[in-house]
Amino acid sequence: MNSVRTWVTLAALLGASAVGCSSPDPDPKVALYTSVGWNDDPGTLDAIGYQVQVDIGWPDRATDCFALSPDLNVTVNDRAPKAIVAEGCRWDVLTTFDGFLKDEPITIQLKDGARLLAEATYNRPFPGFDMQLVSPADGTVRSGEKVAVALPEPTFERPVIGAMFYWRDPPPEGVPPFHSIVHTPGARASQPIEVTAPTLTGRAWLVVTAWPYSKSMFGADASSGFESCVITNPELLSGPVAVEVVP
Amino acid sequence: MHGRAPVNPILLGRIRHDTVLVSAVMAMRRIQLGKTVSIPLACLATLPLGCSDDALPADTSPVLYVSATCSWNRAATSVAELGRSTHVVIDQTSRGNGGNCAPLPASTRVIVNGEPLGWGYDAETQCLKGDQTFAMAADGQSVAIEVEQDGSVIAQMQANAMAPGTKARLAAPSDGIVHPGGEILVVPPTELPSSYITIPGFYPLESGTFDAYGLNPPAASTRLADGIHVPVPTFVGRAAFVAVGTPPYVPGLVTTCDGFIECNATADNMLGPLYVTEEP
Repeated sequence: MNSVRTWVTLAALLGASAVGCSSPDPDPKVALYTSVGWNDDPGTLDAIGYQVQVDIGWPDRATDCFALSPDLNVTVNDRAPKAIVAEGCRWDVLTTFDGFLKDEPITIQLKDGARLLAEATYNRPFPGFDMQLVSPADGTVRSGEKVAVALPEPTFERPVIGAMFYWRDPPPEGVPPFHSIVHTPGARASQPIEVTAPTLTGRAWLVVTAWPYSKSMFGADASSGFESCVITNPELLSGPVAVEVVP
Repeated sequence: MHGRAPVNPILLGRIRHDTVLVSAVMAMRRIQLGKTVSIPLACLATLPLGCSDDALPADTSPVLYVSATCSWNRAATSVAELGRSTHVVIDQTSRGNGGNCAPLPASTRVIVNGEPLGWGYDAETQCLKGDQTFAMAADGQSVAIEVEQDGSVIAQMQANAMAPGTKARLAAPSDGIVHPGGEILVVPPTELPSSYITIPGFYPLESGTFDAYGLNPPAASTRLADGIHVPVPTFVGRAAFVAVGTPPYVPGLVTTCDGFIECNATADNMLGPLYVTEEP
């Protein structure tokens, strides 16, 4: 990240963090930072998809080291809550939620037991779903033939560096899932991208990446209880679309 | 960041940037509460090493950073030196005072998995500094680091899951007997990336010239749904197989970080070792 971009990003961050967030008393001020990204190496089939990393912090705890409730937990949408345990004087805790495969809003809730302390909603956290399958229309492609995808409104003219097929068919028990990378020489993000289907066959999620990789940052669309709440997500990692590679 | 929770390697090679950014955002918001915006922005260049004395506890205990990095010994010169080791780095920073640290009690000791870590003082700042490599047991997964003064522990770090690659298993051949031109099938653990394998190596344990990277397979390994298929090179007798997946950075699991201003752990990303025996 160059210095100009850093300053622009930070200025945007400060603006975003000041909008739509408030901190109620007497609960300590709590901040939310969310990062969204594709899970490159999921350990299970269920973990394929976008990851939502939720970093919850109590900035004043760095100096005051005040006690936190042992019943703190965080959740994203309908996912099972995860406990927030800030050992010692740690002032923030990072939790990760896997397997987001739908173009949907996310709502992050911080609770003390069942009592809601704070929440934030981001209406469009996964811009990668803008990528559309062009051909074959049904997503079934023969090994070695082309599958084409397009980005409706590409922001930048950047070279596409590759496509990844995340295989969806259940592997033998105990074996983690994997993906195959296909290089896409000459492809540009502003044009339909043609990807040669790999020699392996089966159902897959197709994701396309461009270079340089970057992230955008913005504030929550709705929130309460958080002193600040921002999210970053990938600008030029696109997909997934469902395909099936056949012999 | 005080002993970060375990972080999955989200997006190749980008996690370090993300975690630093998290620190930056949180630190900025923290400092912004009582100061002008320009101060925290200027401080970002120093992250994640702390933004100012605002981030430091208001006591007189030493401000210490610690990190532990587990890795396969690529500098081995013999079979006896093969295995994993953990490199521990400990540093102290000042609380102002012109950048100099106050002298520590002579009783100060740094202990890593029960062994002492040799440390000294930086000639310019008089701050504690030390680093040392410690051998790991073949099945070792944990690193425990303690700083003692006058017989009391003033800081401790515990990191687990430092060698997840030991969970790899040999699926075929089931008896471990291989032949030149054959292949082995390795089931990788879920904790490590395994779509692409680099630097696979067979270390003959009973004969042959020792190479720190082992014998390369005669052809590329192939990742399929059932695991990693690795062609077998020619050697005699028993051998240890290891391989590296991508990306190269795998976070360790820091479960305790008390008394340190920051704890970092990096796990080894090596698969194996798995043992095979070659017969003609």
